[in-house]
Amino acid sequence: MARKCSTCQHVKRAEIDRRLAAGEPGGQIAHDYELNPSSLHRHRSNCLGLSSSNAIMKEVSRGTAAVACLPTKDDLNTAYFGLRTQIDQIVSQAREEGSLQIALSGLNAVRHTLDSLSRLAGFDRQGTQVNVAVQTNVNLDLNQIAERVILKFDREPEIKARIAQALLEVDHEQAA
Amino acid sequence: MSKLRELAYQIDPVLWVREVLGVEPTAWQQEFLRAPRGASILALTARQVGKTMAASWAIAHAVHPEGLSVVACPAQTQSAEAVRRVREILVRVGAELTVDNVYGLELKNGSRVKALPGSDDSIRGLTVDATPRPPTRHFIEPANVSMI
Repeated sequence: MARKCSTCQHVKRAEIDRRLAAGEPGGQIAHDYELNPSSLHRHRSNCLGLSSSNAIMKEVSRGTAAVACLPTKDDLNTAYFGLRTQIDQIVSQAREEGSLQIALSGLNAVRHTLDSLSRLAGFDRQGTQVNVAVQTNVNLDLNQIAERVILKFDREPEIKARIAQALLEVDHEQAA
Repeated sequence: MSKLRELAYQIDPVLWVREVLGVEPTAWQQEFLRAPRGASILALTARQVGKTMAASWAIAHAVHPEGLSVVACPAQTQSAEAVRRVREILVRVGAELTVDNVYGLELKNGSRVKALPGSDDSIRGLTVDATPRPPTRHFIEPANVSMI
């Protein structure tokens, strides 16, 4: 009967797996969790089916590079405006020459290409970006408030007690 | 703990004892806990009615940053008993103690509680009123022998 994988039995297996999947070097992970590097390597390849740390990092880099190669929002904006101008010109020309259908088909193909690029870059899902800044000008120090109340009613313990009780009741209501 | 609740507990020590420590102070203990700052209180009570306990609640409630509370009894061992009770309360409410011994406590926020003997000679030199804002509590149990 084959031995069970020691990494699979580890109490922090999920954490180890996450770090392996993120492409962290096996040696470092093995050191952090006091595992045998060979055992961790077997776990990576046999149990998780992951490629080496280098390979994972290369794939991540390729993905980043591919995203960087996509057109920017400004590029797409410029392209769309250019396309609209062309459409206007070609439609006018095509009307004059009687070949409207062909011209529009060609432009439609260009528009589809731009739409695809836009989706790839994720601009179509961004929507309108709204930045909301909430400024709280209420900067009350609890100690100061308590101190003020205590000083004000220091010789009237009943009032202090009633204020405190009222505050507690408000707290209960808010919690409910 | 919510800010409102924290504020309520700061204002009324009786509420704090009742809600946090789960003890209902007796009428005279409530009066003692709610006494104005700087008040001199002479408690004429029976034995075992909770004089030291009430003082311990008051001290534990007043652990303001950099504050100093002093318990002075005729014998230092009596003062140490009061400090031991303060310690129990503070530990119960989750305070972090940086100094913890028989005759003194110090909290992470700099607040101190000292157990001293009640003779004039032995408590001189202690600046109990150096910090004006944090209320310094000074409990003296002159006899600790109750009067009926």
